[in-house]
Order: sequence, then C-alpha cells, then structure tokens
Amino acid sequence: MTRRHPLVVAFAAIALAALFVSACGSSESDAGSDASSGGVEVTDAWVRATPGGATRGAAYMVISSEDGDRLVSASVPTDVAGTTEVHETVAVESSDDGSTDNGTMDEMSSDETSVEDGSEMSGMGGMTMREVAGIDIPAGGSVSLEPGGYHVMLLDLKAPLTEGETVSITLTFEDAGTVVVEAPVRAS
Amino acid sequence: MALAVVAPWALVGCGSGDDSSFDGIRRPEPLDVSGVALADARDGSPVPLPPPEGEITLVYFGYTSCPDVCPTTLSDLRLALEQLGDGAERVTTVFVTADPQRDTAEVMDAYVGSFVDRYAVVRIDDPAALDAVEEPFQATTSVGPAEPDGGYEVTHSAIVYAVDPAGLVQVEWPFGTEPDAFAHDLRLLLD
Repeated sequence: MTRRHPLVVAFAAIALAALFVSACGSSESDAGSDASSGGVEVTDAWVRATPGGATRGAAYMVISSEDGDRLVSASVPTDVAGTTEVHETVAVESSDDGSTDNGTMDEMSSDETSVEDGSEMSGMGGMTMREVAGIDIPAGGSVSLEPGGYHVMLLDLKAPLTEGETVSITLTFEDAGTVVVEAPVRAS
Repeated sequence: MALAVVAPWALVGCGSGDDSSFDGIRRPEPLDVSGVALADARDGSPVPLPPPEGEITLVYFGYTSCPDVCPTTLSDLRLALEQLGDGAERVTTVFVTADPQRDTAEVMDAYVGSFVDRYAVVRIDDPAALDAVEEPFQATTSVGPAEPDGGYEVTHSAIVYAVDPAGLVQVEWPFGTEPDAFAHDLRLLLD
C-alpha cells in the first residue's frame, strides 16, 4: 500500500469529520445533552454518577426560554428509575430548630468565607429537599438546575448510574410540550 | 453593619494565628468534641475521633438517600483529597448517618467508599444518642414525617467538620465549599 502524506490523511479525516458534524447538527430533541423544542432550550444536562449503594440520583441542566415557560414534570425510563420528581435543595434557617446558639456564627459576614456559589452560610442550620410543583422559566431568561439547588431527582434506581452511560430525560413544559434530552452520567 | 461584624473578628485574629488564611470557617473558641466516642458500624471498631497525632478526622452528617447535597460534598472532598497526594493518607472521613432507619452499615460502606479510601461509617439508632453526638458539633439532623409513598425527607447540617488530635474542630466548611478550598485548608491543618 502506498504511503500517504500525513497531512493528506489529516485533511481527509477532518473533512469527513466536518461532514459528519454538520449533518448531525439538528436542533431536534435527539441532539445529545442539549435539546430544544417550542421555544425552550435545555443545555448542559448531566446526571451525577451514583455512589455505591445509592438508591436515588440527581440530574442537572440549564433551561432557557424565549417567551417564558414552566417545567411541570420530568421522567426517565422506568428501567432506570421507578419515580422521577423535580426537587429543590433548601437551606433551613438555623434559628428554626434552635440548635445553633452561637450568635457570632450567624452574624458572620460573607466576606469571611470563600464559598463560590454565593450560598455563604448555607448548611449552617441544615439542608433539606422538597418537591416542587414546577419551575418557572422567565421569558428571555434561564434557570439552572445545579448541585445545591433545583434538580431532577431519580428515585428507586434500578441500577447504579455509571460514568459513560446516558440517561434519557423527558421534560414536560406548560407551553413547549415535551423535550427529551440525553444526559451523560458524570462523576462531577 | 459589616464593620461591626468584622471588627471583633479582627481583634481575635491578632496573635491567634492566621484565622484569615483559612477558606473555611474558624471560631474564636473552637468547638470541643473530644468527648465524642464513635464506633464504626461495619465492625464495631473505634473511630479515629479524635485522630492520632499528625492526622485530621473529617466528620460529616449525611445520608445515602441524599441525591444532591451529600454526593456533591463527598465528590468535592474526593477531589480535594486527590490534590493532597500523600497528605490524604493522614485524613480520615467519618460519615455519621442522619437516617439510621434506611442506612445500613453495608450501604454506607459502599456509598462513602465510592468517594474516599480512608473512612469510617457510623450509625446511631437511638435519636437521643444521635443528638448527643451532634450537639458538640452544633450540628442538627432530623427526619421528616412519613409521606404517602412511605418516603420521608431528611434535614441535616451539610457541614464538614475538621477535628484535630486534641478533639477540637479546627475548621468548618459549609455546603458548596470548592475542592480547592478544602485542599488549601487541609494543607494548613496537616502542616
């Protein structure tokens, strides 16, 4: 076999790849971890790989909407998780349960810590989750479902979620209808 | 308001050694948890709390059905310990379940073991005994009312406590602390 010049081979590979990418560049719901439909766009979807023994998982993503919309439910195939809910992690005020009597802790200014996500003292009084009936997406804006905040919760996992897998998440919106996003499973 | 809060800290900071160089939270009077004695739920062996000389024990109150907060914190800790390299061999992570009803030793073992290599898991069945362990940490955990499907929500202080060989909590890291911040503070503590 004749030896091809490496550059020629490289160009051929790039050209082929470019062809492939452009052919797949649709904005329909099977475009991978980004998906859009009816004015709603879902980007950066991912599912956290579950630690051994975990029966619940969480999926995160960013949802944007031109005209504004409301996420009303989410689901995944039942062979992945028996139930899917939309939840919000919230910090409980330390004064509610009366456990934190050390007043100086509560008064500490946010300059004293370097927590990145602006939650400063979150978790000092306790954190919990609650199911939410829906998430409003503001018109022309977006909502981020991220660790410590909103998340799609997968309950009754049928098997551990391992890195490299993909979970098909169906999101239902009030106006846009359903959007399906293929979320990769990642360690973090 | 900011001035009034910062000033007393500045006063205490003078001469007490570098409180401002930590990313986590330090108290003027460290919490004393030296009276806490815990057993590992897997085999009943004593948990290294306080840790031996030259080591640090991290304590975290969480639960394995926690899909968001606990995996996030443990994942951040894992990344921080990776940054430490050999230093990670002098850090033990102790996971105390806020949900003894659902969390067995086996489940906790698999769960925590997914994140870190040196760890202990603690399961205290009796609510009063669990409260007694939480109290010196000024931590709180509670289990919510049962829902129609049998599930319930758990509330827990999502803080990682770093305990030194004297049984004092040297640093507390709230939920959301980045791996770099953990690693930075752990290096200071291990020095």
